[in-house]
Amino acid sequence: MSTALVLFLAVLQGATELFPVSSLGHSVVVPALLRLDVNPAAPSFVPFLAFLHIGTGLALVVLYRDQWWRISRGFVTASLRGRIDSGDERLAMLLVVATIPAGVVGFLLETPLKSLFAHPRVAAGFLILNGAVLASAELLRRRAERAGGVERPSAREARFGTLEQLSFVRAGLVGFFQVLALLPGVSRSGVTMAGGLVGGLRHGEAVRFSFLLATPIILAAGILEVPQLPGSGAPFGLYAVGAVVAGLIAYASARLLVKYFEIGRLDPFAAYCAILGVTGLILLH
Amino acid sequence: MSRTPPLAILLGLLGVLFVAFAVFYATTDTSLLASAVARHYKHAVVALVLAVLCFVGANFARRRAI
Repeated sequence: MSTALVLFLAVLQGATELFPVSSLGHSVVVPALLRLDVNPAAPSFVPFLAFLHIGTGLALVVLYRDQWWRISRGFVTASLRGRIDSGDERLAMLLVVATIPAGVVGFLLETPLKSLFAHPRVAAGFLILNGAVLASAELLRRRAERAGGVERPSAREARFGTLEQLSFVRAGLVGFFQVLALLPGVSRSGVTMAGGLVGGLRHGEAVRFSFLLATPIILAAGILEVPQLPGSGAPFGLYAVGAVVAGLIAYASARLLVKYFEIGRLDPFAAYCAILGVTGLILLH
Repeated sequence: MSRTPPLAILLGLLGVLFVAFAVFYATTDTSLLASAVARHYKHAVVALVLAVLCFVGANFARRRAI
């Protein structure tokens, strides 16, 4: 891949990873639509994307650095004590519970899942599925809101739960939603936000849980996949620059999304995914 | 004297099993649960993480019974 193409994919990945529109779907569908010289079936493609993801994961660590420090300490203290005594310890264990399903399924089905990257039309189809999941979550949320009467957006959100009130069963439910994100075209942040909404979280809290949940699995995927790159003759330095670019853009988009979801909804992203997915199905052969 | 609950014992044994898997994958060329005959460090790391989670789970199950 040329320098320009690597940087283009880095910008695309950084911009779409945290928006609920599937960065993997975009990395497969957009180059195919633009007739770019990208081969998603190449053995180095997934490790390359995983490398870019490290930048995104580190951006999330920086954004939530204070929380991650407390969560890490909480995990160690609760694990050693065998008991949860604080909110940070509870949040750490919620993240563990919600990470297990996607971690196990992703590891067991790694090969068939990777083979899906070679089929842009399949990714386009999954983009439509992603749009449907986002729209369905908002539909269910509106139904729950109507049951409580019409209010201003801020008051409407206040009637739903915070992360500290999330049960372990519901955290597991969000984790099972995250399994869907192993399919290229289904957004990790999108389905976990949808899972959070279904689990009764406020939009802002669903986003926070989604971003916290994304961090370990993104970094783990990067750490496990990147060692395959040096042997493949890939331009490691250029990819590292790409990861930095992806990280900077992901940081900016994360801050934007946190602000947006104070009162915003998933609807625009659902419509966008549906349109891009249908376009892909029509134009790609 | 309190008895260790069966769940804690089961999780502890699973943890030991995963540690054994981690060592096996890190030190042996194998195709067990893998695509080709080679050292599978990725499998070793995943097995180690699962082992840690099993031990944490066992500790929680043990304390809950006290």
